Amino acid sequence: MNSHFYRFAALCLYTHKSKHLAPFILFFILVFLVCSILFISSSLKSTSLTIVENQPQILVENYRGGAKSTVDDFYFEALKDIKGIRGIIPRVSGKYYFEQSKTYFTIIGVDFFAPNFNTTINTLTKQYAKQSDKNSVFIGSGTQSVLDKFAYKDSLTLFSHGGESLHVKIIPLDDKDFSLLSHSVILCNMDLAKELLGMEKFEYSDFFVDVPNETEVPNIVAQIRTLFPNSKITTKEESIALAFNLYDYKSGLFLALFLTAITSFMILLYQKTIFSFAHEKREIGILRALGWKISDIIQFKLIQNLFIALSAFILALLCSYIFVFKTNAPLLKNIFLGSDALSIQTHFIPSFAMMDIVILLLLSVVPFMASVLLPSWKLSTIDPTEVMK
Amino acid sequence: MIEIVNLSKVFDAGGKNEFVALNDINLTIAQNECIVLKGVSGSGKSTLLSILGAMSKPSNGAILVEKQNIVKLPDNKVSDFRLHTIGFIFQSYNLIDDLSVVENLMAPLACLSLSKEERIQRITRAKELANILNKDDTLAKDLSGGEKQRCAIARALINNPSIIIADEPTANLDKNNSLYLIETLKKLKALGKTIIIATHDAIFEETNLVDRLIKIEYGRITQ
Repeated sequence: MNSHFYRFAALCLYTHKSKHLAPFILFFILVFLVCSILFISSSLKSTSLTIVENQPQILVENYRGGAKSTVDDFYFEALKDIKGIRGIIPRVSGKYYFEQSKTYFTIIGVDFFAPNFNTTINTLTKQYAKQSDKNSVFIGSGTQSVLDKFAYKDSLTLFSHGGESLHVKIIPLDDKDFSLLSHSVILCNMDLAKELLGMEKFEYSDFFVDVPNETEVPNIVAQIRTLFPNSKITTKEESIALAFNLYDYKSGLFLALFLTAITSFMILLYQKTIFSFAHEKREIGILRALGWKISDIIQFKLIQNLFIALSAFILALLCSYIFVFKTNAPLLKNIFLGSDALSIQTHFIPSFAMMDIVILLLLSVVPFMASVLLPSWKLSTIDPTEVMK
Repeated sequence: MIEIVNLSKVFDAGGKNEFVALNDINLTIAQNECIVLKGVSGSGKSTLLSILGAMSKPSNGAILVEKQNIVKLPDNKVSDFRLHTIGFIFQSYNLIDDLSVVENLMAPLACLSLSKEERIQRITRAKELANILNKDDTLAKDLSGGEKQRCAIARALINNPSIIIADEPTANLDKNNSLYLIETLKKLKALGKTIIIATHDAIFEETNLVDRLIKIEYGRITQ
């Protein structure tokens, strides 16, 4: 096909721009929504994966009457004799209700001078070890934004589980790279964390078991299960799957909605082209009467609608990137992050799978093109005099 | 030369609303001849024109243009035939309303590999022949009836076709514009074109343009 043909197709597209605006906007909205969901889901999955991957292989939690309970030294003693365990790393963490903003912060108790349960935490503790003392708390960007609203700049009063007030110094974390882990976090030393969470000195929230040989994990899990049949034991593999499933489930719901919406959109477009849009029919009839072949009509429509679909897709892609990674997806993030996110700002780390974008491109552009090209092809196979009537 | 042999067209054949639009038409049209098909509305003249213009298929029969049966041609060849051999002037003009005069003239050229100079030359020549020289950028929808007709004629002439087919070309024109159209058709005849007109306008009978008048009634040639 010659360049004049492309120019003519572009000219007709420009001339009928108002006619093409509705499909463009609808297509843009659909792709924008799905891209935003993909970006959020992908970013959260990637961050969750980073968190989980940086943890030891086995997590052991104690449950009592269906509710999570604490663990103590007794557990660690019992595990001493199991071969293949490099170390046991207890964790102190829990929720702290901040009444003023009606928000929960995540308290994580850490040891600033020894390895913790997560290498990301270790990076932070190493970085801030010099500033650490019993009365200092390190806060994530989300926590900071909440505290800023109440003018807590340098210090803060927290309350122990027994109601005793604890005056602490605030040190903000530079946590851009660990956003999901640290955004609503208050990082402090173990003793302060235990006071805030109402734990005894010998108690911990749960503990990790470090197993250097990954093939030994099932064997060690079996032995721990024999020792503590009522405990919940989660391997790293299961944690990864859980994190993935959580966000896949949420994005899956949206994708199902997207498929419903895009199907309705395509049917609408198909019907518009074949039945209701007399203008479209007449144009095809005229061009056929002037000597255009069926393949010319298909190519003509292909050029025009590919331009509409691709420009809407690229624009939607860019807008959703800005919406998610620059403005932190207002409204939409609440669906993914739950109540914590209601008042705490989360920073989404840019991360997406190129394959997801390619699949989305195929799933949206191909049906769009088909819903336009099929009726155009059908109309161009009819005698021009019939079509022009 | 155009030979129409035993041509029939039946709509909804075998159905409840079966209608015989053309019944065993036989007609020969010489090169550079101008014929007028006369008949009342529904007599079948427009159907005959659309089949002659390769825009619909007959139920039976053949149309031989320079000994080639256009009825049997595959769709691609039929399109080429329409593009290069036929210039069709429609009663309702059938211009693309949102495009300008020049853009409408570009439509039949879009599928051809021509140089820019050749395109400009063809458009200029067609505009001169149809006398629509100063309306290049006017949208088709903003043209008067006479101007639309001239634009449609220019578009029909753009590929220098050997056969001009006009369906009720004066139906929407006043007398002055009708006379002007006849003058244009005379010019085309002088250029060696074969002209086939379907009309019930008596104005064509008063001119020396027409070589033969053919009357159609109930899908048959009666005179």
